[in-house]
Amino acid sequence: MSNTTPSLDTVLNTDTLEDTFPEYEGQLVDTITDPPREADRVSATDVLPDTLAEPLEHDLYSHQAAAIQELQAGNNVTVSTSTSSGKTWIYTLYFCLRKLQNPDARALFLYPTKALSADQERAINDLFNKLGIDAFAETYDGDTKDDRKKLIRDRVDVVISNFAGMNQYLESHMKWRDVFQNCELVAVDECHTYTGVHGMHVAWVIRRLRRLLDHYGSDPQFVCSTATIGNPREHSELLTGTDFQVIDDDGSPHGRREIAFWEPPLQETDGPVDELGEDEILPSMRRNADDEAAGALVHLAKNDVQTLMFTDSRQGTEIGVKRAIEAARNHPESSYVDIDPYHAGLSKRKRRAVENKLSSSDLDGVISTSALELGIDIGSMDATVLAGYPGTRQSFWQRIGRAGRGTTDSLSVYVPQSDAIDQYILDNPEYVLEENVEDAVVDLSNNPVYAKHVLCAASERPLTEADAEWFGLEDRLARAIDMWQAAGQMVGDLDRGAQYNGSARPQSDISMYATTDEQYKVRQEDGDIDMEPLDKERVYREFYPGALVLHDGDQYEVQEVVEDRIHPYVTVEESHSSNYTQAIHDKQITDLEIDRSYDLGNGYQLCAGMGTVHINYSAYNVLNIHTGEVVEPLVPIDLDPIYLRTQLMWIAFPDQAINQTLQEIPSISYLQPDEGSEFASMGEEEYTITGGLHGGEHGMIKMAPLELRLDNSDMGGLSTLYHSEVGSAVWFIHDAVEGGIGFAHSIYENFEAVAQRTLERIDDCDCGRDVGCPACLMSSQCGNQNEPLHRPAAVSLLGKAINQVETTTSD
Amino acid sequence: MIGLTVLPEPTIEQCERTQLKDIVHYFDSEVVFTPDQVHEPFLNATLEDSVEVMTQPLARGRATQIACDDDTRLVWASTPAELEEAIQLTQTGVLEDRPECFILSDQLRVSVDLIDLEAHLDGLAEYRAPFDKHDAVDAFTHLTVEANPKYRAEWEGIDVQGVMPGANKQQGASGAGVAHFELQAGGVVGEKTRKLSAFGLQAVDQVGRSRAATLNEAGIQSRQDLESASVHEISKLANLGQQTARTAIESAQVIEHGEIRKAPGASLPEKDPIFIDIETDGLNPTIIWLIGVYIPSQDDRYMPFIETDPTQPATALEEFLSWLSEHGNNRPIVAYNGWNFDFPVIHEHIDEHCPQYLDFWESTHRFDLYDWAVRKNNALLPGLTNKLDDVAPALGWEPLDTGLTGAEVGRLFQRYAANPCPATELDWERHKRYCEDDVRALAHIYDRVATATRRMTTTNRRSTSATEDTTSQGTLNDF
Repeated sequence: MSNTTPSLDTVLNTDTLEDTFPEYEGQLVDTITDPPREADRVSATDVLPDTLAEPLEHDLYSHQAAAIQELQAGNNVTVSTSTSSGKTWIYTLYFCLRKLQNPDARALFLYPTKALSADQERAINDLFNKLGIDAFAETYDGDTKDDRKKLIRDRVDVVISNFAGMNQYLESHMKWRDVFQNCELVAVDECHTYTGVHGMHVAWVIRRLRRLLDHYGSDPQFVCSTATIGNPREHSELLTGTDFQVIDDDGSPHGRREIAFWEPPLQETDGPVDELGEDEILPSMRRNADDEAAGALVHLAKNDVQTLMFTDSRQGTEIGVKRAIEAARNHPESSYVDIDPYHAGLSKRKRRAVENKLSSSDLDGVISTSALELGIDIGSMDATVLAGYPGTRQSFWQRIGRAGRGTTDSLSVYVPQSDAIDQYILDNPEYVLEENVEDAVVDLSNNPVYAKHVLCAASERPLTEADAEWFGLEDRLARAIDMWQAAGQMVGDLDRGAQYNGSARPQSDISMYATTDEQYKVRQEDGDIDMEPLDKERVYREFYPGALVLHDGDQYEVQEVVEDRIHPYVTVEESHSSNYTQAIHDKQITDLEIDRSYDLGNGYQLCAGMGTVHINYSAYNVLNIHTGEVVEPLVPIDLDPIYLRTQLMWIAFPDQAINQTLQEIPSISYLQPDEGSEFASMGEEEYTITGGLHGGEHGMIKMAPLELRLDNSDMGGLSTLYHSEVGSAVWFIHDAVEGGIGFAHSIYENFEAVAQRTLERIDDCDCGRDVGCPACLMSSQCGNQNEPLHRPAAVSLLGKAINQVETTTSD
Repeated sequence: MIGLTVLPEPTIEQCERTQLKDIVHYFDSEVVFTPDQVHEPFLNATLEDSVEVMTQPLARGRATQIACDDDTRLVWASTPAELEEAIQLTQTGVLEDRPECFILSDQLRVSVDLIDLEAHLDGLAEYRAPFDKHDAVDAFTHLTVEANPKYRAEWEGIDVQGVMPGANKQQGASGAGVAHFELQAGGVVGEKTRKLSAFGLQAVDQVGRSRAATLNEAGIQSRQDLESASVHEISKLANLGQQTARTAIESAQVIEHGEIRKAPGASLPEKDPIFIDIETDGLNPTIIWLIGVYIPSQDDRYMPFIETDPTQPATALEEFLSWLSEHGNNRPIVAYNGWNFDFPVIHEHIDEHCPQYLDFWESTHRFDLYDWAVRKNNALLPGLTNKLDDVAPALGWEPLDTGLTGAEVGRLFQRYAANPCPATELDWERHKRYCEDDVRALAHIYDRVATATRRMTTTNRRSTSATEDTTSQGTLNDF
């Protein structure tokens, strides 16, 4: 293998590609270069005493020094810098400082995964050793041996754990008394991962923890570390309930990073695709990103560039290797290339073997799931290939960062899938270079989750009025307690102390990824699927019998939904179909309650609040993944209608805006409803504008992840030309989780930015079709079979909404 | 006092004849209630005339008196007309002479709306109307088959007690359970819930539902049959390993003969123990208001450390600790299921109210007899379960039959603390006596364990009943 990382020019320039890449049709559409960045260092002696500064081999990065100084000033700090910029050092060094001042000082370091805990435990102890600090860090979690537990609680200076564990341990806080009494520092690592439902659970566990820390007389400082997100301060403060100083001026260096943007060619079909004009080609007619990326991988490997390719599914890694072998055969360079798959489903032995072959450069390429994204040491690769956008920029850069290390240069190839976000990034490569765009979303207003943690808190210590400090408004706390009392789960009151009165430990009832008790387990009939239990709503939406579902990138077919028992479940079987399913539903939204609203003037209304979403999943279509054609129409679903009370946002348009839009769009583009469809009674104007509203709703849900760290499969929408409670045309975006998780509300808060991205995508889409395509307006989650959709009307309505927001906010 | 035993549908469906007899004998039931009439023949045939069998009346329109004695009365009523009739039936005669009235119905159902943080008692308005009309709301305690046995709450003056195991998933799911209620004056309800598997052959270690069925088919129908059988015979009949058969037979012998067997090498603390039992206001208490201390070796002395003022959570504890630190002489402090309740509660309350005793408390020798015997497998104890209330009588202890449980005492204290007045005040002397009875029962077991000479023949057993008991850890029940 080469010793220096190649540049784009040597292996991926247009001339070489035309000469050597099989059937090259101008796939290389763009390149960007992130120039190298020099380290910004501060002498360690500036912030640390000599005893700590001297044994360090390097000076500190400026952000490390700044963070330690903030901590020394007594503040809580949230550090939002790039991956591997030495964030662990900040809180470990600061702990060393505290330890020098107080030999009894202890700390809690909390990580999102067990794997990360183990990894960090080593790094932290290495640093203690290097600095000659008489301290020890050890992991305390579900894997800890019983005979170590008491020892760790009683003696170990830094206890490393995770939030699912803390949720359970708080019950026996007397055993943790020494840790809590002497706790001077709590580190919450990778806190950007705590969003959505999981984020709220973590936020309440932190409050329960802080309440007990306070009870034991300690008031530790907090350090949060996060990937570069748009709202590090707000997010850390929401998560922990305390104030933070932000350190986000990254002083760590990196080499030159080149990224090639690679558009797959059209699929080879027998159909008339070849005869289509340039503007008639849909992104979905292009080759699958996995297949195409395998070709790029082979090309790099044949050029002596050791390459790591990322894909999203385990199956994808295996299929990718097959594709790579084919591609290698077709490649003019005749040398043999050795490529292996890698994913968590492989045996430990196999994975170690691949890791070793990579480190020793005995392998030309690997196709991996996110399993190789972080943590595992495989040395530095020459290049990476990304089949599809991994969903967040942090993950994008994490994958890119697997090539090149420290200040060495790196080369990457990004191959988009055909969906909206991937296409947006292909069209707007600079997006990946923008700083701090994605906001982490966590929301504490979900009552079901709140109430569960109140119950836990009451079992940890009786709750009194003073606990409003941790559990929010006293009225909310009092209502939760009244409710639990009436339900027989609590006794006492806030004056005397409200205590838990149930029989089982309420902590065991907390599922850190769900809002309701009614959780459906997923069982695989022909294997061992590892999947978190599902909410009822999600089962009805995605796991109806006959549904084809993806988990970890692998496809399963749902066999049965079993509900008539205490522990309901869903059974699935592995599937290898080239189809997907789409549920058809009727949806209504009623009982709106406005929490926040913007009067945008001229009759436009932007609102956030609660509502009841009624959904009846009546049937599903089976469609071909590649062509989108319906293979089997309207298979009935035998499930009762459901409803959920949840958070939502909506934008309402005045009649005037509707009329203007109709005038702006060419009347030749007007759509006609099919005879016999549910819209048959509509005139073409009504039908077209309904398509615009529907398209705006779809587009915003699809594009929200560009601005906000959220899972858009936990959202839904509804658009209508007239909603009786709103009194005008409107589109709604709602959370698909009982009680809400802040997603829809965060779109409300970031309406302009999300709408702007959406407008850009829809307007720029190559499809050029009035009805849009999967890369702009169409959604596989749509309950109306993507009917109607109208791109020019959606563009017009989004433009008007944005304009209205700008006018209002600039006033 | 009326003893009402409730068998929910999943329980009665699985219930064997021997189990049913065991249940009625164990609880000393007067009334056995199960919802579905189809089970009446089975119940009547098995129980003959020993108890009243009651199912949910199908024909509506008449209130049904289920049981009545001098001071308590139990009536089934469901529709408003039946409730009306029940009120007229019971609200006669001189007020002071009227028996305490319990109404059993299927009309009240608790539901929880987590989104709006509200709980509802469905059916309350309609149910309540006839009581309002006769101004008789607080003349009754309202038992509902739509709530779990541990459910007790007041809804606009309607005092609701659940009676049906597994009725309401939101109140906790459970397997097949049997609930028993001692209905007493003052609306006091002593509630006990046991698993069906605590009865009949299944009370024996290593015997679950399927093994019980196999043994049954082979002609071993009761624990008496099992305890007199040979290891060889059982192992052959039920296709069990020798070790398992030996364990099952030994367990049956222990229960049937009321004896104790100790593991080889098992030993109790050398010094004379101090026995304790605490009374609190709940499972995660704000106050320990009574600590009963019994020292047999010091003139058979019983000392109740009590504080009746709910606003003084430190007093009783501090007095106890002051005494203990002066006179404890490093003797072991013995509690039953202490590691699950008494010890951690005391520990936490010391930390909160009198931390000066923390080091002292941590230096004491605390000993949990239940933990030592059952969880650590040092001794086999008789009784259908390993709860104190079952083990002590099996060893010949005659308890004061109070019909009270720890949970009910906690509830009564809560009621007093919320509204301290003569009407709600507890009879403190009575509670001191009850607590005394419990510590003496504990001492009785301890003494019998100490003097027991028989050895377990099986070791390294995985005691099924032990694991079952620990699943109810942290409840105030009967330990």
